[in-house]
Amino acid sequence: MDIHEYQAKELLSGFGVNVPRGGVAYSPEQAVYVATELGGWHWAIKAQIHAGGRGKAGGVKLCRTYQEVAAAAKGMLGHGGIVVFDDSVDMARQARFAFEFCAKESCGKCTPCRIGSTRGVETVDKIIAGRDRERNIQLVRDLCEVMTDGSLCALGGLAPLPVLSALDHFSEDFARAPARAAAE
Amino acid sequence: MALLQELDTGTPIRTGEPTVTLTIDGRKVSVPPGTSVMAAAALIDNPIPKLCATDNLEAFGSCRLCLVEIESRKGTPASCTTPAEQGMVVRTKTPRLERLRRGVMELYISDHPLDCLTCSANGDCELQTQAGNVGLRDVRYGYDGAKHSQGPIDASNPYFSFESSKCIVCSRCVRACEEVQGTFALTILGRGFGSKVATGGVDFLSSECVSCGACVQACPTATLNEKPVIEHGTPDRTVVTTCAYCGVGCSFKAELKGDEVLRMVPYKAGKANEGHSCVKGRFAYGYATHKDRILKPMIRGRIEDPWREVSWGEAIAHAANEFKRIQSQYGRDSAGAISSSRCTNEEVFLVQKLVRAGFGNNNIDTCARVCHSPTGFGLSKTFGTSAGTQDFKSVAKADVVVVIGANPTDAHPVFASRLKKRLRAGARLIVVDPRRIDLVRSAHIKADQHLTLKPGTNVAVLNAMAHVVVTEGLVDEAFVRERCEIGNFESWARFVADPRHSPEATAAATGVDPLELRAAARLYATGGNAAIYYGLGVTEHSQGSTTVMAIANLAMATGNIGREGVGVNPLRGQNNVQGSCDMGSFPHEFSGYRHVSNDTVRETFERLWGVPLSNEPGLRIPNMIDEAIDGSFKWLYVQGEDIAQSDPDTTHITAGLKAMECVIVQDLFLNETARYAHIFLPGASFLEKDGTFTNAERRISRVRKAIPPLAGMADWEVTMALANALGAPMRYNHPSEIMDEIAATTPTFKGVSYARLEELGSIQWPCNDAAPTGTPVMHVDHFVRGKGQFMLTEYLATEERAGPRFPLLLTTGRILSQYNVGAQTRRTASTVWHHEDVLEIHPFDAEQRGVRDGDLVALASRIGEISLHASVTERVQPGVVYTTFHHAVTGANVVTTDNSDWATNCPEYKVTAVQVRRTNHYSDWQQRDREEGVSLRRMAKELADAAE
Repeated sequence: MDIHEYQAKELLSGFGVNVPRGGVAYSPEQAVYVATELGGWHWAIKAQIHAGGRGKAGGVKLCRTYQEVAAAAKGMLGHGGIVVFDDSVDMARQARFAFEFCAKESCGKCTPCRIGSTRGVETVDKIIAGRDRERNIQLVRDLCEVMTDGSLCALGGLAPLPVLSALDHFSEDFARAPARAAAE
Repeated sequence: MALLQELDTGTPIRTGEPTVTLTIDGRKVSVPPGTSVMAAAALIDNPIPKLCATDNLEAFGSCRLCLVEIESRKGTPASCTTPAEQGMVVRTKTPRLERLRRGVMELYISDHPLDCLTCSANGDCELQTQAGNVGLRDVRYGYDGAKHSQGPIDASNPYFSFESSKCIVCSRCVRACEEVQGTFALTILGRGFGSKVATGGVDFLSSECVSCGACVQACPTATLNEKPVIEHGTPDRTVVTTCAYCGVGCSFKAELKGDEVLRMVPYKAGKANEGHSCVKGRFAYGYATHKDRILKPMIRGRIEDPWREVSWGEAIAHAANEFKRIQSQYGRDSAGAISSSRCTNEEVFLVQKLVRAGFGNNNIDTCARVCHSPTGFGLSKTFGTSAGTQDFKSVAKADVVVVIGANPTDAHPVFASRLKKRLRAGARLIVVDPRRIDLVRSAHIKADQHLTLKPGTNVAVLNAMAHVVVTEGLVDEAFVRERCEIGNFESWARFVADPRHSPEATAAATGVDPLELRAAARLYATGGNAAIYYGLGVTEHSQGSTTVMAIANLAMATGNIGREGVGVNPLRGQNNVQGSCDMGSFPHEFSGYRHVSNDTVRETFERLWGVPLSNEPGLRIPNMIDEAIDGSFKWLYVQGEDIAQSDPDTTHITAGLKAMECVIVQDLFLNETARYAHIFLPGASFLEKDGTFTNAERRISRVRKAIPPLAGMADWEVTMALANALGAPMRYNHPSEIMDEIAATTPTFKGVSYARLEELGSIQWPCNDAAPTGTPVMHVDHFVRGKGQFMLTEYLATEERAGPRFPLLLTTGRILSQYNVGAQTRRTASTVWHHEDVLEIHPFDAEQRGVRDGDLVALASRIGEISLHASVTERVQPGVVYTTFHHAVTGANVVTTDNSDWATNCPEYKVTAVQVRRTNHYSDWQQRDREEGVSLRRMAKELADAAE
């Protein structure tokens, strides 16, 4: 498919097909505006990307209040938003990459990001290698809490989002046998 | 007392009324606006864990340990960067915060060496304390990850070590170097995990670091640690005392283990320095236990004889016998004393009492003669008092600062740090100096005007500035009308308005660009609160007193007196020169600057001391030397002063000393004057006695004994013994009794006592019924003399002129690491810096003479000649050369003249006509000096051994 959902809806309604009402928004504020225009008490915020499986990736959020609308729109339109992969992706390596990216970009001023991002890479490596998996996964979650709540800025503060997202929705990638790595 | 720990509130205490009330862990606290939540919690003894915060630095927010939860606010903000707000409800201890803090510590410790038990900060490490505080039991990351444990150790600085493997990159050291000291020598190199503290690509010693130690003090771990602590362990007791170097008078906590000082830590509650110091006070105290210390009294018949060790009793008795013999033979005025501007107030008081009550004359003088005596004269004529008008803190309210004839970065470093902080915040700076001193252009500092005048032309420049003020209508008429003698002012205004004083007319003589001068004068008069700070570049001239009066005139004319942020501030040099003057160490004044001919005052003392006192002014130091050469002055008691090195025209001084029959030197070391002495009485350093020093702010601070006197007696006890032997009995059990006598006889000290000093910490005189807790800013409502007096200050060029034989002008000064004659600092590890005095010469002058950087050159004046190495630099202007006088072997004063201030005889060190030429040998004086240095210092070792 090479057109977005909203473009498809426009197309179809132009031909008289009944489609659910909706509107496009490019910011959380616009999303709230559209929601008020539409009226009602239930809205679905849906990321407009050329891919399927959006729901599973957290790209479809059901909201009951304007606040939830704004929050959902924010989560998908800014830093730490939607990233799209095909099904050959290894989410454990993506989690490692999230930490690695943070470590590379870190200014180094605050401890959670400066040291945490490096430790995050090392710990995910240990998980991938199959060492002490349970303990290290818990350690990564604890580290994510420290980084989210303790970092000075959003670089360290939001780096854990994709990591937690990967751990929560793609845990199978963290439980793979380390045989392939050993063979290399 | 056991080790004194001062409260660290994490972020600076703000001044103001505590109008913001918040609740922390259920307890209410009120703080001034701008106070952080962290500081508020510290103030109610509920400290929040912290690592990157310390209260002499602004909040940084790096460690993330101080997180708190604030009601109705999201997340966990850092309490250091969060200002307290009215009605805030803060919780500092919740399960979530506990997890976060432990998580942060876990990250820190995952990249830290685990040798706590053998680490030099064991027991004194904030990282260690916080790890314990948060209950860290386990570092689940393991220790195999990326680490900085192989970091190098930089031990290049003689006083402290930099062990980078222990660094937690809290940036406290970098921020201390920036905010507190103002040198900006440190930075964080790299970023992210690779961040590390660096001194600009070289080691500490080679960097711009001035070794002030602020970083060592700020460092929470062992990374920056004092070498004595590394070597000997942590101290176990504290004695709060005052530094014995310069006139800033920093308060220190001497931290000792037993009788050994391990480190000097600046005392935060010290009002002069507020927790900061320089390399000398903090680190260069080793001279007190140097092997050169003389610990036993010694006597000898002639100065060519070797010294013989004797008991205290014998030495004192010998001195007394010689005194009686000489006074009966040569008359009442043949004896005198020179008191020390480095000994305590009590000690100086006793010496002048000894002279007045014991000798029956007024032959007492002090080193202020050679530095700030013009301040005494000039300010008492114009304002009615002989001291600066403000405290150091006042510079924080200045909008325009004039620095004339002073180099605070080197000579009053802690004050310079305050000044620089204010300049970085936007105050403007005018520098009047022939040389490009550090303040003209340094890190984040740039002088608005630098008036590079020719040495000796201060009065002309100041008259020109006054001319601008008066002729351009910039006088503060209201102030002058209300506070000054109006008739006086009018005649002065007519005087300076004369065209001959205009910047354009004086430009040829002064070498100052008229436009720059006009701009400077306008800035001073209209820029807001304007303060003048001056030093020996003003006073050590033949018109020194005139210059001081000209400065006072300018301040009065522009209304810059009587409140914070303004004033006339002499930067007094020695730790107690102010006190020494206050105590009446002058041939013409009793304590409190009251003339000896004042019958009422004299009678008070006569009644108290039980003897008649002379009402004739006595001999000043130059007079004593002249009289000695004439044959009528024969007996001299010198306490803590080295006239043979620090007074001008060394040859004349040594001739005078040699002509005397009994020279008694009381000092720590065998200094240059001691070569010509017959009796040597070992002195006590500031660590070995109780007393008080008075700094440049008129602040009287306690000196407390930390170790017992190495020679067995404190200096005041020696003077007492001498007085008793001379039949002028003194009976004091403790210096506090001497202070009580001072308070009883000197109105400006009326309210001062040791009990009051304990209570208030320090007291700025006048302290009397009108001002029971002392006086920070003087002349607030009226001048001490009533109305300010304008003095006519005609410029008279000094007799010392450059000419065909001596075409250059020499001026002298000091540098940071060495102190004055170097008696103390040369006997510490500070010799790694400035191990010799060099001659700064401009490239033009150097080229004309074929002199290259580092060449040995001969410096000759009409008085004498010395040889020293040259340093070719553009810091001096063409026609001016500059050197320091920290090393006796240089003999800088061999070339200085006997020209001096017309009113006070303060020597004209700052202007000497000289010639410079290349040479290949040291001068005759220096050769002779080297020989005498050995021959006149011999100790009778064989006799001493045999006696045992």
